[in-house]
Amino acid sequence: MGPLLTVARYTFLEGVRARFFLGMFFMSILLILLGSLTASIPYGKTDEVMARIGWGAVFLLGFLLSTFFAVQHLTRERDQRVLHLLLAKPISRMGYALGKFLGLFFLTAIGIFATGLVLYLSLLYFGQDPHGPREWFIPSLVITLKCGVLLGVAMFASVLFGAFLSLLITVTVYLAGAGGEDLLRLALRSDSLWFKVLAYTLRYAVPQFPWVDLEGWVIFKKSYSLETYLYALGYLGGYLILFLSFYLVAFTLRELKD
Amino acid sequence: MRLNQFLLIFTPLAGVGILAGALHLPRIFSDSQIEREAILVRPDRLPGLHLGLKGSLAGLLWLRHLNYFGARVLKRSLTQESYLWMCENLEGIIRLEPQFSDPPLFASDVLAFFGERVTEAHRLLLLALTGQSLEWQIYFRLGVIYMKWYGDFVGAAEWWRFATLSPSSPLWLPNLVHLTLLRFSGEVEEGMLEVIAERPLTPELREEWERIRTFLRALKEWNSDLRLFRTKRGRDPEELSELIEAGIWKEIPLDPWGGAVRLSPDKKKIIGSDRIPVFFKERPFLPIPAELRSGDILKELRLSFPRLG
Repeated sequence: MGPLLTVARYTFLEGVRARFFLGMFFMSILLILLGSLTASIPYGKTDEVMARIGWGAVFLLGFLLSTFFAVQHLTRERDQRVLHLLLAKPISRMGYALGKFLGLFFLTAIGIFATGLVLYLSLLYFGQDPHGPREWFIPSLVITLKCGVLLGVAMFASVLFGAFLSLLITVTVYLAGAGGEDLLRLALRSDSLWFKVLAYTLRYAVPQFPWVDLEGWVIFKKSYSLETYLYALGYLGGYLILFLSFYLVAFTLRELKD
Repeated sequence: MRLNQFLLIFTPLAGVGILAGALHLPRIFSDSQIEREAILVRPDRLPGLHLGLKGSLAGLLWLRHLNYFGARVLKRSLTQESYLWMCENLEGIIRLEPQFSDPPLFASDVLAFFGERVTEAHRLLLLALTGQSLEWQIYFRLGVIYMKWYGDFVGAAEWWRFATLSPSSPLWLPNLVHLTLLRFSGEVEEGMLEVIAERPLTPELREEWERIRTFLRALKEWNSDLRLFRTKRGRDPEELSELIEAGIWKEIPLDPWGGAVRLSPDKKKIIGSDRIPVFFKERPFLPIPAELRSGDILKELRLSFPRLG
């Protein structure tokens, strides 16, 4: 466990040194400005709009920042032959890869929870309705898991491909996940069999983010049973482990070229 | 931990989580109707932004086509071919976002509302539908559309209540809102009658207010007749004619607006007719430009807007 946590810690510190949190800090400023702008519109439900746009921005930017950093970091390590040296140390490939993932995941988690806290405080300040800590914690947790899934995809792709292609693949998975339900609705109205097959394949191959729109449930005050929350967390957790497994297998088996 | 140990322990768990989620979450997602929270035309929300990517895209495409339609109408250059082309595109937009199948945006009284420029009319209408306009007249007119096109008087009053939020809205508007709600919902908030009685009302609203007071008094008597029927027969009536058969009424009474009273859908109470109050029929809202006063544009083209089944 020792080497694994060491790798995780140093990966985390790499992120801090690379000013990962600076990006999150600027996003926080953006969220505060967005909040004050939304609150100045005289009609409609300010809180719902602020929360919807805010959490959407946290997810999108959290995903882009973490994925971009992860891909850049991993491909640089591989291309600059730093990886060759590190794997000579007394740590298994599996342990190294898992440590990398954990470090990046915690980096993302802290960034999202912190930015989410800024959004939550904006809601308390600019909003018109009362808000409890649950409206910060649940969306932050769910968005962290979603970003974790996409991080797994990005890291898996980074093992096999270069930086640009890895990013492209990750963004495609994100879009397929975000728009899968809409794609299926369009496909069902279409006469094309291939379109329907594609839509169904994407629906079950890629995690569907609208199905686990827990932040939306919190925003619109929908109450669900613990069982429902567990299904959602299990679904996201399952995909996270799945893509992490792909990454670990690929990293362990892949030959490093000289 | 070795790789095969990790895979042996965690991959089945992942499979269970994914399978359980995939089996249960789609139904929960469709039942939650979160997307319907962003209904485009509810006045108590700030919609549009909640429609999501496809809804926003549909809205932009819709606006583009309305601008096209409006520009052609203004130039009197809307041909049958271009109209059909536009209708086909709009069908595609409705497939993308079904909420767009409903608004009657091609009738002349809607097009004519905002003045001389049809394109501007639609732009302002969409601004109003998305709650971004500060013009009370726009929300007021939306209420009239609700009344006239949907027969939804309570919905109309809600749009007018929205209009009262605008700083420039007239003083008589809150009175109109409350009178309409009283008239069509038949329910009186405690103390509301006294509040309205103290308000300055325009002469037309004063007449309407007197009609409503008469109506509310009569409504109490009619509903007590209903309770008498219930006591006599031990059940709710299926039709109001049964009260005549029971000897409680001689004929079905008319409300102050000349329409026969009706039974509520749950058969528990009597409600007024759906006659539009005289106040609304006679009062001109806004001037209609002469060039668009000559009947429905669709009738002129001898076409009908194709609607999806």
